[in-house]
Amino acid sequence: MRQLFSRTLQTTVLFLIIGGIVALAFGGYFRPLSNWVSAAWVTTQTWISSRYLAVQQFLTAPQDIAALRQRNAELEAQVSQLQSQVIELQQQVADREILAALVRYSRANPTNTYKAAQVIGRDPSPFMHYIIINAGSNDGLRRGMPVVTHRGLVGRVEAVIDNAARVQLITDPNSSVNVRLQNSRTEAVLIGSVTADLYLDMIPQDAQAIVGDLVLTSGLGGVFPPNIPVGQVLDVRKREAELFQQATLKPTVDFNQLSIVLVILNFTPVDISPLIPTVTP
Amino acid sequence: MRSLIAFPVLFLVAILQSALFSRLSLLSGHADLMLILLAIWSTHPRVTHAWEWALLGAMLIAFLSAFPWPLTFVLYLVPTALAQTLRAALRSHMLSTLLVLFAGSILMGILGSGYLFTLQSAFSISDIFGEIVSPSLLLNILLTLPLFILITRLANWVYPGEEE
Repeated sequence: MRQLFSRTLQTTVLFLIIGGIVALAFGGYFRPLSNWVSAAWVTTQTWISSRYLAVQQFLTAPQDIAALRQRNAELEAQVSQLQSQVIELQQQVADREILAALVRYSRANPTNTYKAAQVIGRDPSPFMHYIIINAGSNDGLRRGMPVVTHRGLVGRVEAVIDNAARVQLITDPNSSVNVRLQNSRTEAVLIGSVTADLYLDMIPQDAQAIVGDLVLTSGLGGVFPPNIPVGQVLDVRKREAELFQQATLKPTVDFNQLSIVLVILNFTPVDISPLIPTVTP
Repeated sequence: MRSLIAFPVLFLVAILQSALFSRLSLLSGHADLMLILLAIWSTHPRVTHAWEWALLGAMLIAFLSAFPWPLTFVLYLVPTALAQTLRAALRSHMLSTLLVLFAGSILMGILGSGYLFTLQSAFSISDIFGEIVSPSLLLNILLTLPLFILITRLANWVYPGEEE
């Protein structure tokens, strides 16, 4: 019993001593000693902590790289998907702008009935300037119908099948269109060329052809309706020795960028070939 | 039976020619995918149905093009005949192909000029050869390099050799 009491007393005294030292230390009475101890503590803990973090990083880093790579691949896929969406939307915007312009054009010319068609191809021969459109006889297209865009004259339907048609562009070397200069109201003939350049021929010598003049269809011959814009005069060649002046023309339509065109359905070309006199021996 | 692959291949080539390659122009010329195909095909040593391919190809292009159809047939059958001759005379398949393409492009210029002449259309030979024939020839040769392997493999598949 006495032995048990003695041990308890020793323990209690020991706790009181240690507690007193700690209390004195917290009270700042052992500052040099506590500084040394805390510095050693912090140093040790910092060293252990840094080594732990290094080991942890070493163990977990490959997983992070794999996860990052996967995430990166996902994001790259997402970016490419968004880019393709942007391109698609830009194309839709461009198409809508063209369609809106065509609608405005058709509203401005209510007397005509139009059929919009998409350009789906070009003539395989570089000598022929034709386009292929995705509307045909099922849509009411017939041979000879004029084709326009909101910018001006494109050409005329040359061949038709059920659901497609071939359109001869006015730049084709075999194409000729009766036109007039808007300012001077002078009649002339527009001809295409193998290099897709447009030329005005048969301008009378006494006519005033000025650079920048707007050229419109004249309607003469009944092949095209009148007053459709064709282009602007780029330069005029006038030689005294020749019967007529010639001019080069800048077309209002960009034939390299044709995507959607309008076919004028209610214009029936006049066939004047029976009226052309033939030479009989 | 494998030679029936001509139908889908030639249809695809005609569509690609009209929808794509005719729009990719250099000056006023563009590549003639059908001519390239027929040149590589007809000069391949194992091919035995070169004329059938040429006739079908010419027919498809004649259908699409406003160029007079007899001239279109001449445009594709003459190079095929030349290819058959060169195949027997030259060992190099690539060299024969390039010679056929060269001759085909020049022939295209001659036929085109002849047609424009009959139309009484104003044109100059220098324009035709400078703006159409030369750029077309250049594009044809550039396109031949990647297509050569593809079409040669197709020919090897259609006409398997002794080692297969």
